Amino acid sequence: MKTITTTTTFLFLTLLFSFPVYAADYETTMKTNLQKLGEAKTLADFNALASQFERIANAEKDKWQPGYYTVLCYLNAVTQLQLSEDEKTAQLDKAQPIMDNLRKNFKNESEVFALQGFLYEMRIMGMASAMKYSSLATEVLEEAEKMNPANPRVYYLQGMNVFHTPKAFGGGKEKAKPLFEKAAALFENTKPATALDPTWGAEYNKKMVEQCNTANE
Amino acid sequence: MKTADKAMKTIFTIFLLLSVFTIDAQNQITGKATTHKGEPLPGVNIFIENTYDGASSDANGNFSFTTSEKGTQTLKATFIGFKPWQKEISIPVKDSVIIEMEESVNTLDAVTITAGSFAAADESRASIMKPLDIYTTPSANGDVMAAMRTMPGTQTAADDGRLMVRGGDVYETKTYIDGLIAAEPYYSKTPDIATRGRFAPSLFSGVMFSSGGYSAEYGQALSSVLVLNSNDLAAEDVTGVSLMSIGAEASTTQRMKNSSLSLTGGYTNLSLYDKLFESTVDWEKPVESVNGTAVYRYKTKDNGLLKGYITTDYGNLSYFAPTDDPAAPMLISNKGATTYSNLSYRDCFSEKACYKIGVSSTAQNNKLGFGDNSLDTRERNVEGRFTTTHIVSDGVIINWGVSETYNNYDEDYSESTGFQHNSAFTDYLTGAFVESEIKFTKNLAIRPGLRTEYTTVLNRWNMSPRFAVALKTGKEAQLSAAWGLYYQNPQPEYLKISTDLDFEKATHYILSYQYGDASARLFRAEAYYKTYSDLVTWQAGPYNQPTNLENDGSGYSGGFDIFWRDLKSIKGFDYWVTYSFVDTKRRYSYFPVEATPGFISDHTFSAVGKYWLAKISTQVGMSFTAASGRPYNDPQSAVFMDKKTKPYTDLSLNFSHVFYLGNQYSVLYCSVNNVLGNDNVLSYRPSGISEAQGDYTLVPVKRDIKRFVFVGLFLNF
Repeated sequence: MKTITTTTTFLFLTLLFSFPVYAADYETTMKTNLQKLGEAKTLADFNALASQFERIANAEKDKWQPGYYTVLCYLNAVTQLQLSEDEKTAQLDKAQPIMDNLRKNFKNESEVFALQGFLYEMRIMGMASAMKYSSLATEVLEEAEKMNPANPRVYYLQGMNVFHTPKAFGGGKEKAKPLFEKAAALFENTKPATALDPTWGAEYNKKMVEQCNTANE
Repeated sequence: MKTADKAMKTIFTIFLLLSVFTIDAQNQITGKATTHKGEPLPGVNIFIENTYDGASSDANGNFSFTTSEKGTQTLKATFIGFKPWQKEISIPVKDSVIIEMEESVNTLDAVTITAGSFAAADESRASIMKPLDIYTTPSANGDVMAAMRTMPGTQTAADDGRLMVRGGDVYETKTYIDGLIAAEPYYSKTPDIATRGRFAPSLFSGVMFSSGGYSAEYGQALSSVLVLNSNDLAAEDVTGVSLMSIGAEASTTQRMKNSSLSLTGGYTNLSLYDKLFESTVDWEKPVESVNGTAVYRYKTKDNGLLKGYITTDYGNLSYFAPTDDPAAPMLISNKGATTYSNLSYRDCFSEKACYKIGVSSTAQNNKLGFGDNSLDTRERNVEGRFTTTHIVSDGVIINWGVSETYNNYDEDYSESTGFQHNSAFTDYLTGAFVESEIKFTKNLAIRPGLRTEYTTVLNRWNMSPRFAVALKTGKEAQLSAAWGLYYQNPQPEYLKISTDLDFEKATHYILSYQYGDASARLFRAEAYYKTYSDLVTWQAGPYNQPTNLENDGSGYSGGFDIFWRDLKSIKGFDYWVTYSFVDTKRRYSYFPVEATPGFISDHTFSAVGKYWLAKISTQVGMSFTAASGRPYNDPQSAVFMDKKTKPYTDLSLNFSHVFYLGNQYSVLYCSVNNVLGNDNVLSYRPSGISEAQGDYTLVPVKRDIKRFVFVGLFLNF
């Protein structure tokens, strides 16, 4: 009798454990993949990782992070690799439908809207596209700011947008500097809500602050 | 026994744990992803539904992954540009899985129907002209219509200022704002003096210009449609003041959370200008006008958008026009007020069905004086329209819509002799269309459409089938063709006299080749042929009133256009070049025989170039136009319209300096038209303006100001 009880208990426990295991699996898988994202070297690496995040997103429909990192993988390939204009456009075209889905399903997530701003900024490849995407980025970053005024990436990306806008059109270093500084302070003092929330941008933001501080060339 | 029992238990537990963590996880799924032609597809995302288990296909299309799942599962594959693939599989899977992906017809680079226009999949790419392009084109002077005249297929006709497309007369082009008709897109035209478009370019996010073969959505235009798409919500608050050599303007925009409101008021007066520069026109009262505009936008929670726009203007001018007696020029005067409004709402029923509903109206009161005679016209035009778009399946879209247009025209003609005459007509025009866009593959699309109209003033109805096809021949290259029947009611000037008439009719045939991308480098060559029939003809009767009105005219127009634009090759340099050839003859209006109309130049060449000097924040621009001579009729000659003017050329330059004030940028702008001061004779007209026939001398028509200099300071706060 006792044997049976013990066995049943074991069985029960095993079954019970297998559920948290699944949840823990989400975290560990995400963490492993995030670590891989930091180590990605080639376009194939980035895109394979994007596919992995996309698979997780398909299974975890109530979480925005997997979709977010899918997009970020595509975007990081653009910022970190030397890609041709066509390759860049292809990356951004892959990212946009996933972005559209995120925006539709997570209407109040500041990080999602900030990332859309980042995507728009990357579309800027000439004067004509600058006019269009710079204003699209401005608009969406404003929304992201309203959703969470303490999101450092919002100010960092606003800063980037202003920094790269010609002075004559209201951009330039001087205008961008306060934004980068605000972002820097928030990067220092804000802790991400969960271990899987985005943390990127602090280092590059620091460089941008330095660049704004160097004497005018 | 107990020990054995314990050992058993432990083994059992270990087994259980193993079964959860390890043993089950070792089923491998391998396979290959290919196109339906069998070419390997790298980068395909293959996974088991609702799990993390999956892989991306490698450079040879091969994939392999392990899964802990068992039994019947759904294997899915996704890849951008391809339809999602899925299949039930039973794990463990023995054989390698072959995934044949089918290309989606709705990819970003899929074929789009472009014959007759510059349309492309992405709405922003469809607009070949953006507000900034219009403002920075030197020959345009901020006029949408003038900027469009640097596009292929248009006539230069500098003495007119309106759009004349591929052999078609002015009335054959219709202007739409957000899908609703703008009945009077130009300021009132008076003889000898060019007019301009009524709508400020800054109101629009893009302009779609179709020089033929256009969709069944548009009717009552024999030649061409110009579709202006207005801006959505204004992005931010801004206040602007503009000081120009010809007047001043002030505007303010308020952005609220879900809405925006802009108000603009302007005043134009050319009298100072007239004193500074010599004009070929003997002004009594140079152009003076006031205008006001209000634009309202409201965005609902679910992305519905309400757009309201109203603009009103009042203008006044008078001048002496030469007649056959140099001592007695004729005083021509024009006073008029026009109000245009446009209210539209767009929203979606579902993700696959959207609709647009709207109403536009034009009210114009105009008083035109010829010497002691005057012509008072009152025009009312109201149009209501409802259109929908349904995505039926992947690659099949159906558009349909209905419209009702009310037209009322009422005119009083009075002479100093006491003679008075009133003529008027009212028309209700009902239109309906259905059109489908079908993409068979990524590379082949067709657009069959059908439009029908019934008009009360003629008590007739018409049925116009339209068809367009596009075939992608390379990554950025495609061939398009279009065919269609186009009907139009006779002009008000005829309907007011007789309503016993029929529709005028045109048939278009277009073949077009396009290479490149409108945002970088674009080449387009298009050949066309049009036949005209049932054109209204008349003879001059007493008081020069048209009599014997009949749908007896006909004609043809054939030719080709070439367009090249390059924004990419040289950084900061944007230029486009067009060449148009047209061969056209028609018998219409008072023409006794078939002839080429007086507004036609067989050859037209135009080039526009703009260069952005980043260091001094200044853009310099140049536009050059050359057109071969236009026919005119010399009453002394036995042959009708057999004389030609000399070729026409124009070189215009401009610069815009952008600087920064407060939070907004401001612009200092200067442009000079006809820099070289060419004394072009644009055409010759009979000395008696209201006479079309008779014994008279010819008066050369020249541009009113030889070298038009425009200086403006546009300040934004």
